[in-house]
Amino acid sequence: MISTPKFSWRPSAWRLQRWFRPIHYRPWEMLVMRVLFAVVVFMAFPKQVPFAGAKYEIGIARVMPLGWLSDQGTLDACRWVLIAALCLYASGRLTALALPVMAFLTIAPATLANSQGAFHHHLQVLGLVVLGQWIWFTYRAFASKEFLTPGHRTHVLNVFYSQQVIVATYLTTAVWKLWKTKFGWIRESKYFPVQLAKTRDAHYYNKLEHAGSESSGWIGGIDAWFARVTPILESFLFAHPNLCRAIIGSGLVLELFAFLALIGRRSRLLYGGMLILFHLIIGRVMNLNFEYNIFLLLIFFVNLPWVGMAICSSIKRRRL
Amino acid sequence: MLLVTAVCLVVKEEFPFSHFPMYESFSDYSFIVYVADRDGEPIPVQAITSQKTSKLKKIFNKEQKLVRKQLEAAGVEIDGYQFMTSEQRRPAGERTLEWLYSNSKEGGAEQLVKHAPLRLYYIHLRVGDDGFERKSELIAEVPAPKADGGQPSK
Repeated sequence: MISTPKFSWRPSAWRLQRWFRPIHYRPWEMLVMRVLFAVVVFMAFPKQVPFAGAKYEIGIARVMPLGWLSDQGTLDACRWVLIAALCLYASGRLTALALPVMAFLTIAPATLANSQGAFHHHLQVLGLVVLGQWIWFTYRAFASKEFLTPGHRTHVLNVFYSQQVIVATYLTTAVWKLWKTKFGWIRESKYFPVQLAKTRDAHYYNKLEHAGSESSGWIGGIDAWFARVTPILESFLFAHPNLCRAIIGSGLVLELFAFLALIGRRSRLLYGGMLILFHLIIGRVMNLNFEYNIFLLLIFFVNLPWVGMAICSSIKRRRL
Repeated sequence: MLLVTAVCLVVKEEFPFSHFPMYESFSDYSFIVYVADRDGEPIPVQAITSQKTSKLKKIFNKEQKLVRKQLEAAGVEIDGYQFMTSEQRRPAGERTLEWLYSNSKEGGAEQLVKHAPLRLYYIHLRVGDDGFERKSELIAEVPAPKADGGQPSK
């Protein structure tokens, strides 16, 4: 006989944990994730820092000068230190030693860039994930004496917490939009075409070229297609405000319910895929590129090696 | 997840934390700024300096907020940023161009000097009866900085 569980205020009794739980990835899957994540952290490290100093200090720039990063020799030396830390991290050993280096060298240049009076939001997600991983591995190093070789469970939970941090960034932006507009964001979104026109004008004045005209290859073809379609879309949405609200509002809904991605492997794949598509469309239409969000979604949600394995085993099963 | 969300919403813009305010609200008015040469002809600012027009707009916006605060502290009433006059916006425009001179990629500052004195234009973009209306106005003009790295001479 199945007894009905009694309600309890203890979080462990809430059934949510049945839905939102870590996936027990295989060691090789997590190795691939760590290697790919290390590559992304390396890609985010700038080749050049064109800022002489912080004009309006934010974050760690409030407590330490960061202008030294603009010296090319120092920056190149930092890159080698970062490479050493990334190799350690990817190996899965001494992660509590590698992550503070990775966190500092990810956060410091981006903080300097964001301390010029203009905020860009493409690197925050990476900074938050690195920071989260640093906190987690440091905690495990002290709490479970896993300094040299963190255990399998520590790595599994590291992936789970990284996924939660990524989801949190989407939840934050959705909650902020609703809060800022007193829940009127979707109503106001009929003015979205104004932003499209602004983006098109700003893009033109960057290089004195119209969007899509400078690209080549198949990606250039897609860019050129979006560049042709955007003015039509602009006029169409302007003429149909309710349709505009429905289309733009769907983006807000996607962000607000991003936590549904954490239900299972398939949910991660499906929701991660939808968020990637969302970023790709915004990138082409609004010239607002969040490539690091896309990379992290590919690594931690879509999990391409697992998709590849699943397809291969499905083909094998059909042949037998 | 909820903890990170709460921290981001409270801390706001302190990298790596952010409340991600991109497109936080919409209205029937927006604006952009662009950089032009001494004759008022636009220059390809990203190709020359690696800085995008969108970044210049954000920097101009930040400076404009500071100017507005100063004006309001001095007793000047301003209904909204879109109603500020060119004269009121000028200090913000000058600071934006000065920032551009000193924050360009390698070789960018030398190229900018060839176009100097640089001008900053402001385009009002608003919804009118027949679609979008654009109105451009000159905000600031700043000569090239002195060779010794000093501030541009006014």
